[in-house]
Amino acid sequence: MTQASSFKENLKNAFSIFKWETKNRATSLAVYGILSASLTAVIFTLCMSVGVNPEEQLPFQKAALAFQLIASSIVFTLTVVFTIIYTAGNYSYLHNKRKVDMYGSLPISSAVLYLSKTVSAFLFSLVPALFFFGIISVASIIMGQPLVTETIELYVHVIIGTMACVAFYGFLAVCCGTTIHTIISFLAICISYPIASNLVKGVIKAFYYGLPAGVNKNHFLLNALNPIEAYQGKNVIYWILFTALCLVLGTWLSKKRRSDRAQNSFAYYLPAYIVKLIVAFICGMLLGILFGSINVLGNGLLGFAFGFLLGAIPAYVIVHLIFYLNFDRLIKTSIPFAAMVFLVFAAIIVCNFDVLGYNRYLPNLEDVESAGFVYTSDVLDGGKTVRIIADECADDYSDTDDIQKVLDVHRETLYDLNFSSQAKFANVWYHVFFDGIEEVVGSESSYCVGYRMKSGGIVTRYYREYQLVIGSKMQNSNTRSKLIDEITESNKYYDIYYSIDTVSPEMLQKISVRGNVNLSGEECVVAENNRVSAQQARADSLRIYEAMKKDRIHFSKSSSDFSDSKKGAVIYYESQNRVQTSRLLHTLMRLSDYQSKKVSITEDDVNTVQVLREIGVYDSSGKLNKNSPYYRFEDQEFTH
Amino acid sequence: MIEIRNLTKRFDKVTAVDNLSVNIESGGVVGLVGSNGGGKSTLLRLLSGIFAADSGSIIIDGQDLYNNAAVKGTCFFVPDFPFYYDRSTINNTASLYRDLYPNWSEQRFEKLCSMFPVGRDSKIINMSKGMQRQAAIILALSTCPKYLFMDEIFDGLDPVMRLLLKKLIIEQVSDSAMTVIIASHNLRELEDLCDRVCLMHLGRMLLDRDIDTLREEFRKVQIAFQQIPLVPNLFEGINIVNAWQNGNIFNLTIRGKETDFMPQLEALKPAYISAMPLSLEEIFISEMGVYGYDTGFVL
Repeated sequence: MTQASSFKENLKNAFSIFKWETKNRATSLAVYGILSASLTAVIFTLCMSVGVNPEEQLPFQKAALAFQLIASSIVFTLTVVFTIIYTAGNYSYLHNKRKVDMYGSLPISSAVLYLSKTVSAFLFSLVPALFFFGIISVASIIMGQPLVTETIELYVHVIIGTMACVAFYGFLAVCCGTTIHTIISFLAICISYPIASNLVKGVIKAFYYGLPAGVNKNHFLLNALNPIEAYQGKNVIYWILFTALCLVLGTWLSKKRRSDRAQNSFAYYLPAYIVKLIVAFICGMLLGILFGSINVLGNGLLGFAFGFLLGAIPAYVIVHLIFYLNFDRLIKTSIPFAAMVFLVFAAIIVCNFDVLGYNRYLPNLEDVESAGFVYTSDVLDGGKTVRIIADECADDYSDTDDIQKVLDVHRETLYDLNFSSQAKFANVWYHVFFDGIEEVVGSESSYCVGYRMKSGGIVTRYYREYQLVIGSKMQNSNTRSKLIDEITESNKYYDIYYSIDTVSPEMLQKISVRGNVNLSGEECVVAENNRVSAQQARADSLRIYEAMKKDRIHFSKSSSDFSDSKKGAVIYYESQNRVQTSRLLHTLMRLSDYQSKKVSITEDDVNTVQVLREIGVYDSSGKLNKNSPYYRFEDQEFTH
Repeated sequence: MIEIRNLTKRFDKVTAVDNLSVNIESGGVVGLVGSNGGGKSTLLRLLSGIFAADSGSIIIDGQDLYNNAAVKGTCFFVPDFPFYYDRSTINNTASLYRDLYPNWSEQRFEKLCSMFPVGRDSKIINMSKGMQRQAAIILALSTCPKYLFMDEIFDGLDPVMRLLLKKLIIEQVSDSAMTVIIASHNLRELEDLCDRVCLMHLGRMLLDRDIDTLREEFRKVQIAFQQIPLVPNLFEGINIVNAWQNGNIFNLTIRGKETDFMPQLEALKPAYISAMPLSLEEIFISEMGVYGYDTGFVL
């Protein structure tokens, strides 16, 4: 017979625990508070001392922006560090035998205790952080600088990241018997899972030539068990669900958990299995791929199998010994390991023999409605995934001759590729270590082909030049290059990928106009300055842009096209951040993080020349107007 | 009332409490004694709801104890090494217990604080072992528990404080019918305090008696002969737990009442005979010897 406590009583008890925790964490909260307050004051002082420009309309604005971004990033970092400290101490009531005696005998159910501890960890981490973010925001707004997107994102990221990390750590704390096992499990899973998922992705992409980044670098599966990634602010919905799942599982397990498991390795062995399997998988895959790529035993597949076993078995045993400190249960717990080995071998065999015929597939001309070919470097917006680029190019050409040209390039590409298992294993290294960089930055040596089929489907492939180099029959590459040139040097291709239409008005940041591109230091930068307001500069930029569109101006294909012309303009536009940098670097680089493309302007571009005259960039003789409010001269070479 | 039914608790391959059944009536002090690793502390943790039993049940006042906040609110456990945070003082720990324990008495807390010479705002972690015990006692008794479980509570307490503790316990037992279970190896202290003694060894209850009955059950007999009678089995028919001979002198531990065995011994015409009750410690040693605990070298 059990008398259940009422919700009100549970809430009252949970609040009592929270108050108690607050008293006991007062020292670390004070350290956090003092550090955050003093660093915020230091950043504020530095920004105000260095960043104020009395000549500008809003003299404090830039200083306030710098303060907002830097101080928020510092508070963000401090919060992450202190969250780790709070959380590890917070759940030690499950692991320290003396704490188990104290908390276990309190008149509060284990589930309510667990939840109140978790809520305490959330609040200890988030409330002080949001308090300091609030102060930074208010100070910034008072100085005339509203919150920028990066700062608002930081708020969201710190909330999502903290909740995901605390909930996951809490779940692991219930499963583990000691705090050190919890920390090891947390770090091991957070570090090893992304490595393992990247290996899987690498194998898929290496074995399926032409796969157009179906699994991109931000996919939630790649970091599904790495809640530290939640601080990046991607896949927010997934991390909310993950947090909820960890909370539910943790609460449920805490009700069933035997408190006498404190100071044993584990109360529930799930984290041990996860870590053992992932670490064994990583070691097995690394050695297997190495042996496969150097053809150990004379065959890529056999080499992989030998290497996988040679890497995975010792790793599994070592992790077992770290967690269990002896060989007990080694055999008993090896069933999941055997299942993993079987699955890996089965998957590698399926991928290697290309059971679905993906690699060698070439559509029939009569089945294709339209087709396209594009170098990824020719696509302006770096934020686009290769799959989107490939999908979009499928509609480029609809006449039979052009479709045949695309098919010919595709056929020659397939002819050049090396489909041996050794070559595929060798490809894995590239996909594991460099994947994502090329796809985001864009590379002249990688290209997409796309087909819209008459059946309605879209077929896309993405090839990288290095794949064609590894063990390829290079004698054919000249034929392929000629076929590619036929497409890329055509007017159609130029119209599609070099038109000014590829920059939308929203992306447009500013336009820098030169009277003579070879003349050093002289230009009119159509952007906000001391004499022109932001609104006026924006309106002028858009007028130039619209005129260029009317004149059907195209971007220069290479730097020489631009420098050969007498007049020109550099169009600065904002696209998604191409190269992943650290958060602080990214936010600090924000002010200059633009991409640019160059155009040559001739007298034939009448609309453009007319607008440039009207807004005073050109004088009546068509030269750069030195009296223009946009004019500036710097005694240095243009580096654009 | 505490009803323990077929209670078993295992730690991997070790059975700490083995199919134990016992009833403990409300109001009274029970001493839990036994060998090291006998299962006393585990039983207290099971009674406090810290550990869940592998099988069997603990029913307190008709309700299951484990994970039952209402029942746990009537119990208090003082472990052998209580946990305190670095910043814990008697006052701030009291603030937690004040919120959680429904019977918390502010008046009693104030009174106890004035009785024990410990600082209410001093950090408990910096106190001596004895003072930490006193802090634990103040907090435990202030919750006015119906059931108080204490593990090695006399450890570190000076004689005056031991006496004070015993006095307070007896007061509270008589005033509010509190039930106290004390696990201790300090049998001399238990002897003064307990109404009942339970002896545990290897997870089993070897003995469960009122202390007066227990005292009645054993006698330490010293018997000396001018010449040992030449009879085959000198003490045949007497339940001798332990016997030690030095020349013509025998020291016997006998289970039974004096009225039962003294006539038989006197019939042997000893030069000297005396019978005294055993101390709890002596009973403990004797009983443990019976159950195979190696007490030979002690005796």
